Amino acid sequence: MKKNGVIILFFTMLLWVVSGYAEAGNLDFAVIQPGQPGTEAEARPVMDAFAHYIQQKMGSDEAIKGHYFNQLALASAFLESSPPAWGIVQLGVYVQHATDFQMTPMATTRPGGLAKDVWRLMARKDAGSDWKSLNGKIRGNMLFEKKATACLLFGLPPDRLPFTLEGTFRPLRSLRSLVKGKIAGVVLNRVQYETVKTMSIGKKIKVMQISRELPTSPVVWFGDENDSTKKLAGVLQGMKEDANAVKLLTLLQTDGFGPADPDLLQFRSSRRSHFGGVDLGEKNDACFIP
Amino acid sequence: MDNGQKSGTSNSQDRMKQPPQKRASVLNLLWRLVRHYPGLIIISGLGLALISALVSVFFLHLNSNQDSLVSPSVPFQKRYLEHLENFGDQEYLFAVIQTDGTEEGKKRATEFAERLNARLQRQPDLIQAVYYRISPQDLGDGALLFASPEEALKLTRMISFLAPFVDRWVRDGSLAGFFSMVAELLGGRKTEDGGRRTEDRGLTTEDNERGSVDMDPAFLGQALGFLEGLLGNMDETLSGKKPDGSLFDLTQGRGEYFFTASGRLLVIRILPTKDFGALDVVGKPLAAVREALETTCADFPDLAVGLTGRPALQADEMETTDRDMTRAAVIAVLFVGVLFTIVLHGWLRPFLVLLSLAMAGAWSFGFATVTVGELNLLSVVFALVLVGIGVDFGIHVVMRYVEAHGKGLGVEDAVRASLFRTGPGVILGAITSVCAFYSVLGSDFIGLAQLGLIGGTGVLFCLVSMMFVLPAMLLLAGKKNLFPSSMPRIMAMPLLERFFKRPKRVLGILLAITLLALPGLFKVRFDYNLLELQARGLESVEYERILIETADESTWYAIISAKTLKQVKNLTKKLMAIPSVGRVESVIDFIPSGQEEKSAQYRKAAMALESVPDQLPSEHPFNAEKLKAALLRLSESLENLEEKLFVAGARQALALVGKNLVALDSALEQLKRYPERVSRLEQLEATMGRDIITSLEQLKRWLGAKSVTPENLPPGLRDLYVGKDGRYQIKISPKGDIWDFDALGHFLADLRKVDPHVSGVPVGVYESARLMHRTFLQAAALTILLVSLILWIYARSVRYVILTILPLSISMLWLLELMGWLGLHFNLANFFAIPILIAIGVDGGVHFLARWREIEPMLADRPTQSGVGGLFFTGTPTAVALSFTTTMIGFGGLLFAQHRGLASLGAIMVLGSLMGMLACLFVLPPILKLMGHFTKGEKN
Repeated sequence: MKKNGVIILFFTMLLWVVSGYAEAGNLDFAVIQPGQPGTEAEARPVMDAFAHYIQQKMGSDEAIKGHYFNQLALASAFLESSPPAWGIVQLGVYVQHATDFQMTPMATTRPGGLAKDVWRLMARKDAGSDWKSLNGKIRGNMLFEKKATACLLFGLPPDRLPFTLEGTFRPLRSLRSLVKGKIAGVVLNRVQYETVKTMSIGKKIKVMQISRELPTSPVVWFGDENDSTKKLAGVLQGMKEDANAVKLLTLLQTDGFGPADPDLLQFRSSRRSHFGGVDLGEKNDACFIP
Repeated sequence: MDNGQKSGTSNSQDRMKQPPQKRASVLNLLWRLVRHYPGLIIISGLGLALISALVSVFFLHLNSNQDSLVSPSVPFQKRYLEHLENFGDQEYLFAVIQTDGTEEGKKRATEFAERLNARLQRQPDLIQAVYYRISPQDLGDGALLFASPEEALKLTRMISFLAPFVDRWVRDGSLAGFFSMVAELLGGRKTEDGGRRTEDRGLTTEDNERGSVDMDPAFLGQALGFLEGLLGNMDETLSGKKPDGSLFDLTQGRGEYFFTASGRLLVIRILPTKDFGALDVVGKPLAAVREALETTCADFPDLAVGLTGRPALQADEMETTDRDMTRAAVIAVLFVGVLFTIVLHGWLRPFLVLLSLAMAGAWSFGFATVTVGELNLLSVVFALVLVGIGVDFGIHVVMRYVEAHGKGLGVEDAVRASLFRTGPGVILGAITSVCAFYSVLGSDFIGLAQLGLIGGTGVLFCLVSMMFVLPAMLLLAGKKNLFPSSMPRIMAMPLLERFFKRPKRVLGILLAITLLALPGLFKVRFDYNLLELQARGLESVEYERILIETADESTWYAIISAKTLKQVKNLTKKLMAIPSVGRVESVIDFIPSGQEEKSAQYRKAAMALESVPDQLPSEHPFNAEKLKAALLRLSESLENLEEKLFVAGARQALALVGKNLVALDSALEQLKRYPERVSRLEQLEATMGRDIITSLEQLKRWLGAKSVTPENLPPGLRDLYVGKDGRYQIKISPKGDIWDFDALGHFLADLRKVDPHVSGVPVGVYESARLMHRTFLQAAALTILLVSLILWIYARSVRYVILTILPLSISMLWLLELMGWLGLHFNLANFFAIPILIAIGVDGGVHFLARWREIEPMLADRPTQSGVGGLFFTGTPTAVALSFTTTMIGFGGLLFAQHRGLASLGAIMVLGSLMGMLACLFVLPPILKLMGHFTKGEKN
């Protein structure tokens, strides 16, 4: 009986330690932004600083590691082999892989202080008025996820578009190529579009197609949520008010984090019949993700 | 018609009525002198005037220093003067640049400040100092110790991160090497030996890893700005323009600009050179600053900029008052001239009056030279006051002369009659005026005391001139028949006599009006706000308001001094807790905290730079091919950076990179088209090498600084806060509208709880205003007392005193009632009107009473005789009315003054004179008449 009691106590303690460990959890994260200029090495200091901040705020003794990917293939391989606890992913990545990697939105980024993004297809000033008249190459740094982008912007899968889509790490150079007539168009997100408007090149191009308002890059939790999920969401959403986080947010290119965009859940739950909440109709079956 | 023939007429009333014996002996003496030596008197007067004028031209100085207006023995003034002596004059002009609060607006404002400063620095004789930012150079060798602990850490990390790059470049020394290094840095690559040399540089591994993280975005902006300058210089050098000056100077870093808390205003403090020998004190520097501002504004048409500060406000005030006074003087001379010509008939009589007045003025200047030796900002106006008062004496003398001569007296008798009949009144009037002036003698308000002495004595000189010189000139001119043969028509106002047939009714109506208007009396208050006296629309006034309203700041500050730094800290703490205090400045703002920790940090950075050579290699051959390759690498790095910034939406940095790329592309294009031009860059390489080595030396000096103390602060900074005796100055700026007297009072009361010996401009203004107010009140009371006493001594009759002062009292009551209804309040500019009005008001009563006493017996004996029908059949009411009218005209020009203080002075003087005239004309005659009836009834 005494022996049994010791064993029970041992197991109880073990469970307690394990549950405690599980509650603190491993909070490694990944930032996945295909097409973002720069290299993983350049982003490393920012990831380290972000990880350090989160570790401090979460009160975790365990070191947190941040990973950065701007190449889709490497990111997919990483998610397959060693999925992190959470991450910041580009909208296209979320739309395409939310189910595969069990992504649950927990917060959202605010690039340029904006809660919503809008994608625009830009063409030369002398181009026709209908985007369908364009042919050649269309570039954009969100176009590494071609299908998601095509469906969100044009409502058609890439193979049914009159032009080819191509991901790029250099959207500004692509715009210069566009002006020189080397390519047919460039897709810009809201921040890029607002920036280009202030540049001289902005006067030489025009908007051909605009998406509806889209969620910005979400912060997602991989796998089943636990207590850390909510706490982490709170930490992220509190960064805007934290004077110590000002510079970090600048480096992360977001004006703080907001609550998860409800539209994102809609994307995930309704994608078998709709895409991104947009009823594409029977003719656009190809935009359905199997 | 021979005037001399009339001298023997014996039936004239003027001849029949002889003055009392005692007074007659004095007047007889006076008359004998005038009669026998008119030429000598005139020549003596003119000679004395000439000598006085010459003496004053050569020896009389103008002291426009406001600090000289109050006695240095008054405690608050004594403390202020000691502060001035100890800490020097720190009264600034404030150039205020409006920024609209945006980053772009602030950037434009800083550019404006830099350009304005460059212009002002060209005039060291007029501008002593310009403060608009604190640059590293201003802070001396301890500059880096002013950084916060976080900044010190970041700086250490950055220097440690960059040290290997710099080390490598200094060993190479080429332009190509520099551009390669920049390309590598912008590309985000780490130093090749970063990991290996960590311990050598005295840093932990963590420090090293974090080095590149903390590359501040602001640093990127500065680096890109520097690179743009260098690339632009390179492009120009390739085009054939030689680089001038240095390319890079670490001591000229941006520094902190003096923006207000909201960031909406950038304030530049300019210390002008003062010249207290000039009326405008800062006239020349102010003009120079305004010209520099105007020129700079032309370069920045989008910016709103203005100048304010106490010197500007005072100079503007001086300019507007000067302009207003000149305009008022011209109006006065024109209108008084016309009035005199009409009333006195012809130009000669007015001319003689004005000549006598000019002589008296000259004597007064001479007196001021001999006794005081200088004129201050208040006493400088004595001449204007003399014109107002002195001319009245002449009017009475001339009017009586004309009246007597018109009634058939010869020239000699007419002059004699004029002297004997108006003499007592004029002398009495003059003495009462002198009382008004002398009543401020001994006041702690030296400016006012000197005005009292010079003004009062000037009045006496006017009396002498009008009683000696004017009669002598009338005598000579009359004998030589120089006056017009026809006589003036406006000598009396007999029509008004009818008005007083029922004196009780007149008095009843006046009493009713007075009672009805009585509530106005209680609406009058004293407004101490000096800003409200200034002209509307003046730039200095508007910008003072903008400072108060936009930044809750003022250009004034109070001063407290302390012996030790500990006291400074304690006092600062207490002062910051006071709600009415806006900002506290002291030397401790320039004594950084945590110096030991920061110094330890910087020692690490210095260690990292230790191995960096002090000189470039003696031989580093210029390699054109290497340079072109480096430029291409730089171009690539910049393009990569541009992409990152574009995606991040960093527009400002993106624009900077764009400019860099434009300059670089242009240089590359030149090198492609004219390859031989590459040799032109050798000089640029040498200049850049020299600049970087100099900057490294400076950086090492900064990093090696151990501590900052008041003793080793740069002199320019130390002198602002540390006095000659080693005491420390604490400057306290108020919050809110300091021009509001109540707010000023509260502010000073709060400060006095902390230190009763607080000093500075706010204290000076507050106490001076109170002292002036007190002095005026005392002067007014003393004047009334002295005047009453003199009148009693003169007549030995209480009834006479009451009757003489009655019009004055009534007129003052009416004036106050009117002021209340018109919303006109007393202030520090117009309160001076009261003593003057007392002096003038008494004069009217004196002359009316004197004439009444002359004609009263005749009215009783022969009431129907022609010429003795009453007061209004004589010339006295006309002379009194003319006196008041000249005063009204003299000050009436001020009604149009832009300076609101002067305009209000004009308004009170005009209204006061008008009320004085009305009281003399409408109150005294019916009362005298009633009293005559009463006396007659008693006799019957």
